[in-house]
Amino acid sequence: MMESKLSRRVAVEPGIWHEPDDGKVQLIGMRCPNCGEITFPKTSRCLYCQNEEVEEYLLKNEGTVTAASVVTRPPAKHYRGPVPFAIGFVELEDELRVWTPLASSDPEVFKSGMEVELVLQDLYQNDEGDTVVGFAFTPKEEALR
Amino acid sequence: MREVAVAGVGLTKFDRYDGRKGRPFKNFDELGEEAILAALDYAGFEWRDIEAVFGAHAFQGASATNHCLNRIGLTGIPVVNVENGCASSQSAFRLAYQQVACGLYDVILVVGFEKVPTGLIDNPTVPKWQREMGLDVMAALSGCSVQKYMEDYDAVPEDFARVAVMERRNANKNPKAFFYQKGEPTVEEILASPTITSPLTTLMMCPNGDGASAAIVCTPEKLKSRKNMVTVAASVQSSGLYGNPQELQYLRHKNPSVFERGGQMAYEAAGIGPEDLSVVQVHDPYTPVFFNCVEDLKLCERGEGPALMREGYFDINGTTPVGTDGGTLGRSHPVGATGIAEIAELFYQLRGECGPRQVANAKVGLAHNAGPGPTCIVTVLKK
Repeated sequence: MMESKLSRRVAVEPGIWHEPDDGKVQLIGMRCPNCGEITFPKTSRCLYCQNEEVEEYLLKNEGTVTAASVVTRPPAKHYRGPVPFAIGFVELEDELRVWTPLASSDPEVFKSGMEVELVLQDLYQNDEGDTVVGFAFTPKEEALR
Repeated sequence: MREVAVAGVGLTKFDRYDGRKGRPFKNFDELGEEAILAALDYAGFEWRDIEAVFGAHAFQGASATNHCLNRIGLTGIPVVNVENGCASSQSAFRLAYQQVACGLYDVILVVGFEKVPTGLIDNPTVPKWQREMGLDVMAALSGCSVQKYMEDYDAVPEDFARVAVMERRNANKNPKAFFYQKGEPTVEEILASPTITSPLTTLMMCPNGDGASAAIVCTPEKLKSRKNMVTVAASVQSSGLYGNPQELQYLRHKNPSVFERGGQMAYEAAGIGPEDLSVVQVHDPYTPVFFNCVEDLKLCERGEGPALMREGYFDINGTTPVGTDGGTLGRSHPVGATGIAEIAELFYQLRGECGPRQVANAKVGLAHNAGPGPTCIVTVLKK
């Protein structure tokens, strides 16, 4: 007899974000103690000064939109989410700009200067029946809901 | 280092060779063959004169150059396939230039060819998980950069439509261009075409054209005639400077972009400045990239591009003509063929063979070929 399998939620890639049991999700970047530069995603050496003694650094989970674009055609490969969808740059204060999906019921809503917050969102079901999860920034009002 | 000349170039018509809607069907190897034979013919060379080949393509699969050459002849010469994204064919040209300059060979053929997939071209340099999240849409990076540019420099969407107006006007005068004799859309028509990645519309993005381009580089002694000789004054490359690659290419960053660095290196190598350029080809698959290019290459000050475009500064009869063959928007962008097509246009311009799109008294030309990574090749030709 086959056992029925529960659908699990799996990250699109391990090591991209940190989700505490009782707190808000944060992206995992890299900070170089030598030159102070921060990069995302994390790397095993500093891309600026090649220092290998780098440390994990949790990025701020809030930021402002630098610019956003709504994509109205399906990308060439791999993406299996809804179309149209929004992507853009979010500036995390004093840290860096992240190239990121922007999630909202209305993809047209994102404008320069808008305050956004990091959330996790379902991307698609993989061949094992698991729900693959990615990150996105969403307007602060929507994150509160 | 030895002086390196361009002996000849050859182009197919840039078009869709898919056999649909009454269009002809041609495979990439047929396109490559056509461009190679045209370059040999221009140079007055026989196939046996070619000592080595660099072939450029991004989508045609392993060792695709050999398929093109198998249609021409087998001579036992070294053949190397070069894949460097959208910058593949000027990367191949640069390798050929270096090998002639340092004396390894006297005559090398470079060929670029491509049949391009339909739809949005993806960015293969980002990891799979980012692609699953939809972050591999290069046109959206440009859609974002244009908004930042509008904010920083008070530009308006019409400014970015004007790039397409100019390049389509030039393409109308180039029988090899995708949009040859296909009309001259107005600013309003360009803005009203369907939005692909906001605020970019269909007509602000390069068409998915197929095609091939070839060039032969050699020592001046090998030329059939030194009349109107065109030589390579610089062939330089800059790739992946430190920092966030996407930000480096599309938003202003504390480090110079690869475009800016490539321009500086080319001017130093050629011993010239931007004011010496008679004609320029830039790699602008989306119209906002045009201004990133001309500003990073120091053809004008930062933020000055849109105003100069309105004045006709970049027109064929303007101060610094750019995209005279129709550019990426009007010629189209068969990925592996684009870089050598830019070089071919410089070559024809310097030799005064461009007919209705001829730039008066063209002496020095610069071609800029960019790819994901980011990477940037800059080639300077002079008469």
